[in-house]
Amino acid sequence: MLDHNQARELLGKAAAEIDLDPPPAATLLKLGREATKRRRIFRTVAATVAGATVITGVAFAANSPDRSPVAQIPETTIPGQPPVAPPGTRWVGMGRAVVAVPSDWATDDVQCGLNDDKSSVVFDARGERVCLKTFAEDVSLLHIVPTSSWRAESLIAAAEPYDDIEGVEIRRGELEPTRKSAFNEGLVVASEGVAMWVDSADRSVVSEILDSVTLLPESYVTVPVTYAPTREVEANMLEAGLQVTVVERDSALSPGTLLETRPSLGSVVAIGSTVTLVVSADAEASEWPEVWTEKSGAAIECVYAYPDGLAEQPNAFDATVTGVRVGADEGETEASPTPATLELTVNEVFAGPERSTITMHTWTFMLPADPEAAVGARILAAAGETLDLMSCGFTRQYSAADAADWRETFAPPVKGPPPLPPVSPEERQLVDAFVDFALSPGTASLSELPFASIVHLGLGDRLRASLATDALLDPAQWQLPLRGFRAAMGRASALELLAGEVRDHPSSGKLFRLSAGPHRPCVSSLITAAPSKLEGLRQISIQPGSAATESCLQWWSVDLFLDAKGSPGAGSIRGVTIDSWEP
Amino acid sequence: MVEVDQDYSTYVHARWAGLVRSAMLLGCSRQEAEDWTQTALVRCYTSWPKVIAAADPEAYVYRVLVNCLAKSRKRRWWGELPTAEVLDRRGSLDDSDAASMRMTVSSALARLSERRRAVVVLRFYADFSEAQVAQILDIPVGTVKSRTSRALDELAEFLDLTELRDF
Repeated sequence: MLDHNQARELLGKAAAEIDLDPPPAATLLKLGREATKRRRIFRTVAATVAGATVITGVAFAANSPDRSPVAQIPETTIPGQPPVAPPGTRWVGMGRAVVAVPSDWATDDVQCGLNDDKSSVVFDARGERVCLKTFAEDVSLLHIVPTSSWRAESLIAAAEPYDDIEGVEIRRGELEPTRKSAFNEGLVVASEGVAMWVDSADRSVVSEILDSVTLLPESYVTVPVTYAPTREVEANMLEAGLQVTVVERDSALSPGTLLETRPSLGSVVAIGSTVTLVVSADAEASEWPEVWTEKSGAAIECVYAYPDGLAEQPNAFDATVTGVRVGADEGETEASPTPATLELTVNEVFAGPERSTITMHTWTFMLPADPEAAVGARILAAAGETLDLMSCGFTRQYSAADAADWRETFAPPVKGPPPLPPVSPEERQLVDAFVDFALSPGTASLSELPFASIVHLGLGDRLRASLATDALLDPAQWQLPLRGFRAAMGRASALELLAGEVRDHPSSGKLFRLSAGPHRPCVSSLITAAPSKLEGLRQISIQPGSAATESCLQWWSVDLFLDAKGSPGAGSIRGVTIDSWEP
Repeated sequence: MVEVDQDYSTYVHARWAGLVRSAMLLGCSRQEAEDWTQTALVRCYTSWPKVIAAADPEAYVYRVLVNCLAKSRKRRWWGELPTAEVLDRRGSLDDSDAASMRMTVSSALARLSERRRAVVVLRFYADFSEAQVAQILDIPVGTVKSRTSRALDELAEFLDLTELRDF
């Protein structure tokens, strides 16, 4: 190895070999003055523009940007106007941070509402729901989310310093690809509260979009992304310095539902400009066309294919639609695709509890083009425990033949695995002690637990960490990076899951459901395998008592792996894993 | 303004060579090194008050340079790939010792990963402390230490020390 002095001498000598011309001080000074002048002009002239001009990328004269490094300083030369988007592109962003995307890309506010064959800008502010769409390989997506969204977490964690525009730090980082042979990389501009990433099979698309990042002059802003009811959208626009005009348009959606903004979300507009909100008019229900008269395929197919996945649905019935409510429920936000609620009168139950009426939640894009025309239609529907077609399920036009198929599919009692060995009283005590430890990790609560000298922590069937006994006291060590596990991001800790359940349901009598042996994630029939290192051990699954009845999205299981009875060290905890439901 | 310009000119004269050479040791061609140094210094002019107010102005300038370089590298994924560096042999064709020193060091540096290379150049050519390098690269000091140590191991391995009589 070289010592430090040797390294210093070596590099110094090598560098000294480089002949250099004298520094171009005069040129630098000139460039510096020009750059400063441009910035000053933005601030003064632009602030006095009482313009209502709406700027869109297409409106700009095409102007090929010079790629020489010095030209990286904002190319803008027209005072008070934002930088010119490269030819064939338009600016889109959040706050003052924008990137250039091809002009023909669509803008969608929710990924789940996208056509699956068109490259788009996605403002997924609603993104609390896991979207089940899959996209064609050649579709590229630019996601733009506020940094406060959980969806930004993994990008924020991965981003490293990349650029500095007028003192505003831009960070950049790569993400796990979401599709095979795709690239996924993004930017974080913390001062603007925005994270954006491009997901594309074409690396040059990713680079070109991200490399184009720039900041708008202070007199410009992007059309803010909001999902609140119309009057709050207005408030948000005014807050961003924009004027609002509301126009109504006939639509099948409930009156007042925000249909679109003009210009579209994320477009560049001068402060003081007017943004048009197009909302659904207060239209009377019109004639109802025949719907679903043709026998179509499954209206919805997600991770389950029809009809193979049918048997796995816990609820299935033949029912007639008696009501459709379109638009968000009170307190929910509104966006396209709009949530819709179906009221149904049941004709026959194939699977699930007997009932006479059913309320199902879905999206409008899963309904006929005119959603209200669904009323009166007789359908076959299958869904998960929560009757939530937003998550998964099938609907199709009723036919006697299909109904017979469904009846047969569900006729034999659903074969489950043999009943699991019950949890012993000692094991219940062990779980209680573990929950106590989760609530207040410390030497006292730790001493109540028979941990093995090395404890393995895992997600599902994969181990992610191995801790020695003293490390178990540090709650941070229990935090496991999810990195896409069951389509989730961020971190998860078995201790926090348990402690959170206790905190959220302080008075609940039966907090946890315990079972022994392998468990099945929520309504799935698939068994989660044990990590190979923990195979053959006694497995105790701790599941929240409340979640299964609410939504699979809230379901989880913390599993303790214990040395089996009769083995050396019987009952000691060798592993703890977390599992969650995957839509 | 005049005062700023004088300060700035003085600064440019004092730092130009060091910045360009650092950029070249970091793997830039001469042209690239000069361009990026120029870009970095112009950015510094536009935020000159911030530069001189920075706790460590020197580190600030290098940070701008390193970020510019990182940006240019990322661009290379897809853009016009610069042609492989052609060593500038002007005036040194007859000076075989010197030429071999620079070539040997350059090619050894080129075999390091970009991260390790940056640490070595900032630490041993630009002569920053570990804490300053940490600040410039936005990494923990411990990481600077470990990268330095591994980089020096690798450098020793990559350098054909027999070619360098002084070592």
